[in-house]
Amino acid sequence: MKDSTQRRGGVSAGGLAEGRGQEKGSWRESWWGTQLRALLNDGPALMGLFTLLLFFFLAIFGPYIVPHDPLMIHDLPDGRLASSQPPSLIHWFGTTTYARDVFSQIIIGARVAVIVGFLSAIATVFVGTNVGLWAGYRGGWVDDVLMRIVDITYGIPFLPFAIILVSLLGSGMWNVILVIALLFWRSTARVIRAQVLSLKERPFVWSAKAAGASDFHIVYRHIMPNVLPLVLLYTALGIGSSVLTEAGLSFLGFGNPDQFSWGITLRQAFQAGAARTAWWWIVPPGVAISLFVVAAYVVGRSIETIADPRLRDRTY
Amino acid sequence: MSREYIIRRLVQMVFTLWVVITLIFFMFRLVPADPAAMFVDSSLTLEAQQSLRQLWGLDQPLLTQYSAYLSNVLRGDFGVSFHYRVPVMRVLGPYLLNTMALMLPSVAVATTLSVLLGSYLGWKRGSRLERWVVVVPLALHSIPIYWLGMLVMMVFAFWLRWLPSSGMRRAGYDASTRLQIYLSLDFLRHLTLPMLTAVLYLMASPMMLMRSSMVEVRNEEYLDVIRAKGVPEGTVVRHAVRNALLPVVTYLAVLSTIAVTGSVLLETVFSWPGMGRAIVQAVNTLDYPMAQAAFFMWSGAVILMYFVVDILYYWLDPRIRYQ
Repeated sequence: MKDSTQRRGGVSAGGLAEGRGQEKGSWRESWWGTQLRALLNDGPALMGLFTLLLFFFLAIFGPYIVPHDPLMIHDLPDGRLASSQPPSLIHWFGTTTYARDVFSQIIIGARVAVIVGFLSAIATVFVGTNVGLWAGYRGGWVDDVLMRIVDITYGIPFLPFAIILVSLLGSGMWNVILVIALLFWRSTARVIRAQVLSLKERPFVWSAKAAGASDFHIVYRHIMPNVLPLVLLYTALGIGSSVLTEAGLSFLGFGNPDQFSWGITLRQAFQAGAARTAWWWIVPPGVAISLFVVAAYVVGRSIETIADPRLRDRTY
Repeated sequence: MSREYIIRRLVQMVFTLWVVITLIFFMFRLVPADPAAMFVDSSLTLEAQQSLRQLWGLDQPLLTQYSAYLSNVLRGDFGVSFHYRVPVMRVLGPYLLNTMALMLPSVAVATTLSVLLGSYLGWKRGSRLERWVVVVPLALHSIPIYWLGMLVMMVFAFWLRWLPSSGMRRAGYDASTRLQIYLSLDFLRHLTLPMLTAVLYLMASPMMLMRSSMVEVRNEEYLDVIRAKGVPEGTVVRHAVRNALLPVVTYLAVLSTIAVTGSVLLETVFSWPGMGRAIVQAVNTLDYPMAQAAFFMWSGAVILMYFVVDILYYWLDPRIRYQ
């Protein structure tokens, strides 16, 4: 804990590295070790972490552990089509009107959610952090130009933009990731910039400058570690909004129809009128999406709190 | 209020609009196919196609095309819809009104409710009830709106059969003016479910924001001063709310972008004949003039909202004015 308090207090990354040198060998005392232990003490965050790990597991091994092929059309014992069957021991979440297993579709759908969620979030935060760091640090015309661009991106309504771009570029997971990365960096950039504006006036930046450090070194070695909690928080928030966006686009019909995702399952359910006939087809994909988003959010909040002790007495 | 600030903000708004218009122009020429195909309906006669090409300058170099496009857009001419065969703006007008009839009351109710609930949660921070209720905005924030809409529809329209599940009015319902439609009981019945969904969806973030803003304001010294005057606690709360409200006012602009996303998804679920559904349909039917115009109107609305909120904030917070 003491470690992270000092960090916020404006001790440079270099100073920290020295301190760490003395505790060498004890992983538990290292920065990452402290973070991990604090995370394990936080109930909701731990649950969130487990949920994320479960989805990760499903994303990797899903296709090998599904009880049924999600495309397979099932029959009842008496030979009729097993369409719109309520949940049972064979079909845990029931079947669709096309007699397909809902549970298997949910498991297979985890892969798209995890890939889109994490890749888009990482791309978004990478762009946003770098824009924020340099806009804040350099100031002047660099700041002006970058922040005008941010202002303009705020004038673009996201979903209409995404629909049009995806339909022009062709539907598919990679284009969805691209579209998200093109616009979502704006909020990260703003927040990081604001933080950097105050950080760059701190003594540790002056001393680094006086010691002859290059701008590159100061930005990435001294300022960046201090905005890391925010970066992690925005990665977590980004995972949530990317998953929601991907599902929304798939629901509207701009996903890849050859690939199962929760949004596509919801689209098919909606088009088949399942709201009237088969609640078991509608509820699970929505629950999966919401769980994923909540889990990412809770873990992100917890990481931020751990890294910034001043936030510790906050509830959500 | 300083005139200089407003003018600077106005210039900025016009500049942003111009960039967005330019962006639309190049976005629709991004695809490798013949750009003319995007604006000229291939099922028209050859002469008609030719005259349209000339009107939009599609037989000209890109720069000339751009200026023709710009002047057409400035005159509010987005061309003729491929699907409806009438000028785009004539189709979008009623759609815009329908969307506003759904989203404006939703935003208003959601903002009011989130201010009330959020300030309650912030004020009562730490109480037992608060600890449970505080999860609500987090959950609402994470639920896909169209899924929420489907659940609401499932429960209230199909199980309980209280309200109609989709559309804006009953088939065959006769009304001579638009106002007559919006003021009818039938319209209200159709409005209830989509609006309920929209309110729940829009409430999440401002509620969290109001709550944390209230938590901050709660310990300010000026509240102790007011309390020392011996006024009832309700008056103290009122002072706190008014000061905690500022971040929520700023957030209204962001809320407008959330409302755009929400209306695209919600109108699809509830078959609401508005702008959101129009843009999805336009893209699906390759009705490019329509998609362009709808996109332009959405961004125009959002950019305008940012402008209004900035001015409002400037007017509300004297600390900015006297700087």
